[in-house]
Amino acid sequence: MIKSREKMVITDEPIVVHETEVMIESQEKMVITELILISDNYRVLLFDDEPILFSGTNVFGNRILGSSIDEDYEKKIEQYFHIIVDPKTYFDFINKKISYYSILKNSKRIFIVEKSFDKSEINSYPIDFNSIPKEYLPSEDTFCPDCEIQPSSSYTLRLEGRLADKHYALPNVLSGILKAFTDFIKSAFSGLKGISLKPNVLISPYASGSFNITFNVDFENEQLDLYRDNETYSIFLKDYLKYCIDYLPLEVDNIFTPDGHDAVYFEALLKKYQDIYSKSFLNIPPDTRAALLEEIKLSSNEMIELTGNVGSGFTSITLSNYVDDKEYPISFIDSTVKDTVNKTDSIIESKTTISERDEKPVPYELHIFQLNTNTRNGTANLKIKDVDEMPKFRLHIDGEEILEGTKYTESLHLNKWIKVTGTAHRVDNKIKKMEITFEKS
Amino acid sequence: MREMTFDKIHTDIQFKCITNDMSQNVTDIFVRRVGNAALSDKDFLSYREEGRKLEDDTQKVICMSRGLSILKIENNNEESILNTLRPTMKPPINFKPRKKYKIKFFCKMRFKNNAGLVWKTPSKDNPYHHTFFKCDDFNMGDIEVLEVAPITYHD
Repeated sequence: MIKSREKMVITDEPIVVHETEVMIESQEKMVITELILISDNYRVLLFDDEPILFSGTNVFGNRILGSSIDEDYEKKIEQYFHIIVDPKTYFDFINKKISYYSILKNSKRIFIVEKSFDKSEINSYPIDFNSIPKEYLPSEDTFCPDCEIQPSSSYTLRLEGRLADKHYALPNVLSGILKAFTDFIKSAFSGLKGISLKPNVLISPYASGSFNITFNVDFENEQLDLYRDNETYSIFLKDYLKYCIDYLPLEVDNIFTPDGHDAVYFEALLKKYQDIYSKSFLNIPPDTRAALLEEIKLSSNEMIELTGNVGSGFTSITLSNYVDDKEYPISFIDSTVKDTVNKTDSIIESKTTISERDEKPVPYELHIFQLNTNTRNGTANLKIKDVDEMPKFRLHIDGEEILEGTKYTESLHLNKWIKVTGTAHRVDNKIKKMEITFEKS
Repeated sequence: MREMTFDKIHTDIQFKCITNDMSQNVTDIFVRRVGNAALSDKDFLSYREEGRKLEDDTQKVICMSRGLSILKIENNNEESILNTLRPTMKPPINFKPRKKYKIKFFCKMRFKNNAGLVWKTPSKDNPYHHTFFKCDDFNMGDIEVLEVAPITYHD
């Protein structure tokens, strides 16, 4: 076993527990222990006669990665590495972009946790990477094994950073997120034909840590289908959400071209989409590929809405599947993902639509029904003379002047139609986005 | 002939690890990695039987911790054993190099009638993985040991 820092030598001799107590026998002991121990969401990532690799969260909601180091059968003690990792690093690990070895190597916070076999006694102490004896060091190609769980139809969005870390969220930002994620889920099933599957999305009370929102997808409504298969729907939905966030940017150039079949992740998703039909004992319609692409195109819009608020009171969103009271992370959204989502949407648009833009700002009459005064992004309805339809589009108000007390917030709060000047971006002849020129009154 | 019971593996849990998916298997050859050339009861103790408490509370992991990891080999020849052993040993050894020092041999075996039940527990990384649930009266005589040989690790 690895010896405590004071006596760190490469040896097979088991560590004597009381030697380590010297290092943590202080007021700091409790802080350190609480910080580095897993209290929730414990999940074994690799099991081979024993848990080899695992993850979880501490009492503060920080993600912890850990692995088994060694055990002493005579003293009945186990040793583990525990590392506190930020959400981005954790996702890079479970998506096999970085190895466990590289996380250990770059971590300033590696701890050795010693536990009695029955877990009644726990000790811990920090260790730096260079002090880990070579024979205990994981190899460089320690990429996360594939772990499959049976997905549920519950999801959590964990907002982190800034206000979210104090368990707060801005009301308008929150309402934007709730709507965008709900529409994102609904768009996943919008192209199905012959199956009356219109999921209801129910939201559970918010929980702190940092700021958690739980969405429960109910597939039962409007369904008298004898062959309803919630398991198949849940598997598809989980993969669909991950595809749109993580894999679509990698394959967007291929999937929207007529003979673009060289997209491994899309083909896997399409198979699960078709399973919805086959498990319901229905023939798979010939145009499921086109239907799924259309859903993805719709979801691209919802993802812009969802990611558009990153930076407004929080810095990242962790999307997890919520199974048996545990969060199983699926995807991570930060400002980098926000940029990628916008670029991906532009590529979809260029490949699937005819788009045009006003040559110069022109007058429009609109009603703003959602506006983030920090990012200056929002959503509005357009008034078209003698036409009942009021198309919805995204907007951005230019300039840096404060928006409170202007006609824009007046439209938002008083449900007023206002006249603005803006440059509209039309896709297939419909306004998709408008850049509004800021006017004081 | 004794009747198999599985009360021991269900101690302290409210759900059943034994399901209809599991069956006896007295024909296939399985491999278990062990510490010594001379086999003992200790080589066939589950994580729980070693007195180790599990922290994961998902049913599948709890049940796996009450069984033994075994690998099913396709053919009884050296190449098949190596093809089964080497790739499946890689991830655990990579993450926990100490396993190299503790698991030095493999035991090739068949289970005798009424020894226990075999559960298919493959993963993408380890398609050969199965879990063996010993019945309450299991003893070493319930295994037909075909060979115990050293595992050669390649860095």
